[in-house]
Amino acid sequence: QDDPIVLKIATLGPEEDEDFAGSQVFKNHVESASNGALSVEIYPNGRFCSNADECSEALLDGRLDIFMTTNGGLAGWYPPAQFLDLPYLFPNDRVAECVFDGPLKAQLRDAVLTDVGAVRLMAMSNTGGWRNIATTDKQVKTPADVAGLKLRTIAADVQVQLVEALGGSPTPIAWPEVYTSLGTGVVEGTKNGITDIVGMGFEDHLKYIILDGHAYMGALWWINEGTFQALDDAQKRIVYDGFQELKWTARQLPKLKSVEAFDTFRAAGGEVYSPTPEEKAAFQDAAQPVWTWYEEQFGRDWIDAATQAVATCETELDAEYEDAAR
Amino acid sequence: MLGAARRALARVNRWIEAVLVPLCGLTIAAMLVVVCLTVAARLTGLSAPWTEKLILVLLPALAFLAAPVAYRRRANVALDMLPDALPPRAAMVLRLGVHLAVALILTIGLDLTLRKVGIDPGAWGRGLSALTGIDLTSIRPFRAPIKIPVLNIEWRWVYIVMPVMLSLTLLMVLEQILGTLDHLIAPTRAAPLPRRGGDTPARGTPPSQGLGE
Amino acid sequence: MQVAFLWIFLLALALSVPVVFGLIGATGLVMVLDLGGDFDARDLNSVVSQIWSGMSSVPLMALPMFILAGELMNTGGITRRLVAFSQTLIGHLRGGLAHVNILSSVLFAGLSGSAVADTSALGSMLVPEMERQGYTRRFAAAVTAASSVIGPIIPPSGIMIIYAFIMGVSPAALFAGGIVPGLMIGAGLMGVTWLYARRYDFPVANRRATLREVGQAGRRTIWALLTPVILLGGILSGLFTPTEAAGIAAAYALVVAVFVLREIRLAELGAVFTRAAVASGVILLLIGAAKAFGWVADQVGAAQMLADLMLGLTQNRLLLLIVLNILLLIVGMFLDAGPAILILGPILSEVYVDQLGVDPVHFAIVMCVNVTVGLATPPMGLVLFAASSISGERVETIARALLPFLAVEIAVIFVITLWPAPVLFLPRIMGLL
Ligand code: NA
Ligand code: NA
Repeated sequence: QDDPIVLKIATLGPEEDEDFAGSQVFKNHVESASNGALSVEIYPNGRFCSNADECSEALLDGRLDIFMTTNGGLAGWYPPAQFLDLPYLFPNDRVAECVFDGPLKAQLRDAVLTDVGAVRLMAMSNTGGWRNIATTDKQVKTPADVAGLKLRTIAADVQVQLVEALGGSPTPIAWPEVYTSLGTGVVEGTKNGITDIVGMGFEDHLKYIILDGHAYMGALWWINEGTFQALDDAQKRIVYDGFQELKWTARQLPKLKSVEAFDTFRAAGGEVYSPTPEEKAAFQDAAQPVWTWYEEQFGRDWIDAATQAVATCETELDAEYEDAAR
Repeated sequence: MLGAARRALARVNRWIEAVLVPLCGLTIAAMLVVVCLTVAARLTGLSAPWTEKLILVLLPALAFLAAPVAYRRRANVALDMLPDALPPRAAMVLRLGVHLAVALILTIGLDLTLRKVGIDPGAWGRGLSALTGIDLTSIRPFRAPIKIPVLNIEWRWVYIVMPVMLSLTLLMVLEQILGTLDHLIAPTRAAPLPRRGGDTPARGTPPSQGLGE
Repeated sequence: MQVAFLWIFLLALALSVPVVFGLIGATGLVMVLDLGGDFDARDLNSVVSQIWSGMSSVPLMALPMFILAGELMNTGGITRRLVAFSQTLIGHLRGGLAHVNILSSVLFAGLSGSAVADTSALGSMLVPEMERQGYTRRFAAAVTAASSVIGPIIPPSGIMIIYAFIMGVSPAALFAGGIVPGLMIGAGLMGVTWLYARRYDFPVANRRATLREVGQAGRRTIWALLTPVILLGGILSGLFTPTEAAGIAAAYALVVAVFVLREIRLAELGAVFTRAAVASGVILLLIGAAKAFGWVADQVGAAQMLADLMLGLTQNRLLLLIVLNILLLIVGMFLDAGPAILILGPILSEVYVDQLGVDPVHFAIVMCVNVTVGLATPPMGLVLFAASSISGERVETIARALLPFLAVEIAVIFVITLWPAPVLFLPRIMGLL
């Protein structure tokens, strides 16, 4: 038998992460379905490449075959993709998952193949759940409570714009220094998923979370186009199906892990607040300048496509419910 | 002949060094300003998210800007036990070998970093591949537009510092090679070689007063 | 064959190839000559990426900033005043300035999370002063290198943050766990200095200073003494992060030296900045090269082979803990602390924490202290290189002078490995365990 074709996957997170779990499901599917003609190597912990830009570069020039970018990571080489991070775009997991499986995915795949080339979008999942506002000293309930707060924000335009729109002060702090910065008060809060908060021990300092869910932390799985086109048709199909298997694992694991993470957070004395529909609407209103900013930068095309997709999915899911409850 | 080439190259390199040294100083000064700005912006409630990204660029830039200067001043750390133990002429041959090895590493590095900024080194790259037996041409020049978030600059514009500084370092290595050859051929006549650790921070300005001022 | 990269690197070092090119060359040769690992020419591109991203990290900025601060304090007369003050305090002891060097590292450790930054900052202040007072330069460099490994052991600590992130342990518990071992190393180093001082007749001030002289020296040095107060106060009150504190230290030193003490004329300032810049650049490139080297070590599975070897030796817990220390010390000799933790942490914690039942925080501290001490061991010790670059003394000369200090540090490692109480005591009473 010939040497197998090796597909290299790199993930930045540890082995406990959903990215790694999903990659293992992918590996299992691809290796068994191809009878060993394809072989998958997974490099977790940033072992192959140590940050999103470096990994993207390796993916784009073909040293790396498969990589997952976050919404923000993709924005580095396809800036219009920042629409995925627009605040309060997705109402809940079901709608987000439906949108990620719908025509929007194909649209994004084609756009990136045309504008950037070199990579093909294979599946969209989740990494880390939802971004919520977590604070050290006071419970945020309305946008007014954010005014003047120093919130640790990754240096990505949409995230920065959102904190500014809410009247807070976006403060980039390198990830390893966030823990200390929360303890000393350099920043008074973060915008992270609960699993990241507990994973880093931030519950020592963060005492309040509002489940505002301003961003669904999308995960976009890419394969290098050269790698993909070098496969034969049957192998292409196996790889594509593998990504769909991966997707479900990577979507479900954050939900499961956040149950435990919220318990840990509460056990450490943390309070979790669910905003009322009115309060949530107030956040959506306050976040409007971010949408305006996006439109000024990139036009309305992706905004329309995304809101349209969300509306379609909501209708679909409503119909499904009506049917089930009849 | 060799001596003349060496002196001419030394003149060029001195000039390069005279340009690079203030650039290094400006880079570290920029870092200082950026840090102070970050703190000041946060304390006044202003937002300056670009400062973090700028630091990510300034650090590697400083390392590459300093590389030619460091090689010329022999400021790179090395273990000198063997050349110290060898007779002078053998030590000189060893030094020549080391300089040549470094030159090869830098030449390959130059090819790689040119591809990283999107330039295909063409015939020269193929020549290097044939010479070293490494299939450098299998590396595509990198053209994808990965931008530094917030700063909105493509990484490859920043990466240009690599091929430029590697070329200049190669000039410094060449000067050392010529110098070593000069010494091997005519040890009595050749100008002295630079000593290791030519510029270390601890050897700063001696204080004008004693401890008990 | 799998560890060919290691032999190539060692050979290059022995042949006096500069370390930075030895690292890069060994990394490249492994790929080109196909000496282990599954590489092709395209992976050379990853080497370039690894070098770049190894330097492109925000916490690393503390390094050039502390070098600059050290250079400013040194040229600006701040160090001299601080040393004069320390002289009036403990200068009447034999080897007073060596003790001052160690004490400063312990205090400095509370400000900085990086051993290399400690070496650079304190080294560029104290090595010239020690030499001026008649210590040999190699001893001054050795004391500086040996004591600066306390930096990442006493919090804040860059490597503990990395460990906590990778292994999901509470960083607060790790920080608390590092305090006592850090103080133990400080005390041990002072013990060695005390013995040295008696044996080799180290310099002393002429006599014990009067209280009035202490007060006068204190007033002269008040600007210097304020530095840690400002930095610690600033960090604890949330004005800036520990990384930014390095920059604040440089800015403060600049203002004090130029405008308050007026010891640096504006015209001289350029020279100060360029000296700091070139020294920083050299060390930064070395860190990038070490990252690429560690990348290859990881890709060929060098760490896993070591772990297999260990469990093959014995299953006895006590013996395995001793083996752990030996392994980590050897690894620490060749790898930087960060990569060592990134590569070995997950593998070894599976062996020790999951299979042998060692307390996760205890294991984490043992590992962090080990790889940190490895920073000061030849052939691949960044602290050693920094000390060499700062002092102008050769690596091998410093390494020899360092041996007695290293012995103490290894002794402390064995104590905390076999007796967890000093590590776990503080996290327990602080309710972190
Ligand atoms: Na520290
Ligand atoms: Na070491």
